[in-house]
Amino acid sequence: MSGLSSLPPFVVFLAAGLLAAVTRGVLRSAIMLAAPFVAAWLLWNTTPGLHLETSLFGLPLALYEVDSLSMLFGWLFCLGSLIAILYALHVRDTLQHVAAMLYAGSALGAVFAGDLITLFLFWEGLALSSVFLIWARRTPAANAAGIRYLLLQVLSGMLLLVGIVIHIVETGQADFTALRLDAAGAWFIFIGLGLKAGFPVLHTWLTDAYPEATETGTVFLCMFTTKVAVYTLARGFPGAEPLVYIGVAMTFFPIFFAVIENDLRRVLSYSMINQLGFMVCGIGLGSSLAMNGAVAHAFNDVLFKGLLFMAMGAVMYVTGRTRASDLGGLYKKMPVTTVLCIIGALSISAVPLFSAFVSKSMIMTAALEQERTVVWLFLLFASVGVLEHAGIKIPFFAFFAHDQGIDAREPPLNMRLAMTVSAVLCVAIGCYPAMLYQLLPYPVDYSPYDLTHVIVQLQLLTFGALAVFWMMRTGAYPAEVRAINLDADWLWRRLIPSVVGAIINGLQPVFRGGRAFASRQMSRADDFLRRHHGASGTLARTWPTGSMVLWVALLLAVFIVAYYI
Amino acid sequence: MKDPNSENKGWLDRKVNVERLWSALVFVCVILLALDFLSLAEIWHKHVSFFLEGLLGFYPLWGFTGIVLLIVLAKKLRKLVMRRENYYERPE
Repeated sequence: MSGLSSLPPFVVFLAAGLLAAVTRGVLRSAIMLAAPFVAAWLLWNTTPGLHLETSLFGLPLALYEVDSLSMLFGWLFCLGSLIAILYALHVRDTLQHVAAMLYAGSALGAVFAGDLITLFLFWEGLALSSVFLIWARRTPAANAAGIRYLLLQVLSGMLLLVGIVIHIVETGQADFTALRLDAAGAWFIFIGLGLKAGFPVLHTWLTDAYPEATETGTVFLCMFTTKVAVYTLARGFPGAEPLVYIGVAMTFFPIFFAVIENDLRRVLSYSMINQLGFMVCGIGLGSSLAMNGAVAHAFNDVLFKGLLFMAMGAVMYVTGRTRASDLGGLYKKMPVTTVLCIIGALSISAVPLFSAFVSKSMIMTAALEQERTVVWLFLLFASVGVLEHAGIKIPFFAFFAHDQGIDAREPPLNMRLAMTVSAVLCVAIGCYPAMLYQLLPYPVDYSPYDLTHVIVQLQLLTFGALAVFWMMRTGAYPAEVRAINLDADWLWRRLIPSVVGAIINGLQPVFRGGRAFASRQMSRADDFLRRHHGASGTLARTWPTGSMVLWVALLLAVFIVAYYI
Repeated sequence: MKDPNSENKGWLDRKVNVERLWSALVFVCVILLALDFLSLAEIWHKHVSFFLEGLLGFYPLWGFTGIVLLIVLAKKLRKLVMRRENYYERPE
């Protein structure tokens, strides 16, 4: 088994991606479905430690290094990719399948990267493979969003690379271990990782591009990039104080946007940043309970957020619509999807017996243990916000609300199966948290199911739900309207272009003057060159050989005379 | 497209069922609030690590006012950031 234990799981996905490019039909489906199983089997047979090393330009690369933290994400990505592959099985588009396999492979490569250079390579792999899942929608909006997505992802990679180079110069080593935020290199790395984790203002690639991807592509997207970022923050910056406040901000601002957003897949994208905020905050808190909570929540998020994206993808696949203002009443025609979506909604809302209840509460409890009561109150407020947008808004406007009389049916079997697997796991983890707790990197001394915790959580959620439906009944709830909402990307999609445009316009006279001056100078130079080097210029004239001989003789005479004097 | 008569009437299309659900929700809320009073009488022990948690009705109040505040502020935000759908498409 020694040979197998040193074979990194990303290789399986890269190979499956290449095979998916040249095979079709049942064979391709079989190859793609087998990949997560083979990768999981490799993980099963491996042990903690460094298994594969190579070198690049004299720098040692640790391609496959395993510990309990990376192992958790390894299992998670095998599980997530299996669900997403199953969900996308009906798709005929080779581009999407190949991109998805390479994308999942990059994620697995990144979490087992033992040094920063290897991490950087897979970091770029994530960006370059995932963008094709957006472009695969093949609409002008998706093309444009994909380019904006890629620009920010590449920026993230560049920040990371600059940070790594500075870090190696500063410390002389490239191991990926916990870094301290007291040097320039660490800060660059921090911001580079943070961009992919959805730090505020840098988050716009997520809410901009995820809703523009294909219905199956978004499911892959929601599982890997941000979770790799959470993993890298957990490895590189555990207990970093700024993460607490960044995390709180991430849980806080998206819930307002989620209330007023019309596109339900964009609501889920804002919801993702909110959930990532809990994880980032947990990493910032840094205690073993908080770190366990953060990575457990990442695990659960892949399942319940994946489930919600799958449910909305199913709606989009069947009806071609994702706007809340265009949807409603689908529960009659899509009862299975409705029930599965509601399970996802209960899970993300942290209802007892569902998955987020057993992971988010670890982070909340850790905040109280450190007596960070203001942080705790903000997180509690954000938890109510989750109930509003993901727990109620998503299922309500898609499947209930006003019946739009839309022609619909249940999605294909593979989609329903994938959603069912996710839903079963959400409930299973919620009911038997030990399943998840035994995978966590630190010893777990925490039980979510005590009477007080269950009762207060139910109080929080039912009174929140009461408020939502009360506001709907009284008409105070904002109507869903066909519109978009400006976010931080307005800065570079509108403000900067218009300022640059205004500056260019304002400088027009200067440009004109400059152009006139330059062309005058050019024509003067031209005249000069023509006069001296032109066809009849002094220096370009042809002359008879005799005159040359005469001049040579003359120079010789001058030389001889000068010699004798 | 919108022709409710041609559709199968769903369970939730009947107003009375919606009212039943609403009553059920209110009922559950009353029960859960009553539990807080019972904890005062030490019928069950509510263990808290932060004094606010121990206050009577803290979690119900935080849940309810949290949502109201969230929605009121979100409506204000909408005034600031809502634009027509083709806002980012090339002007002119």
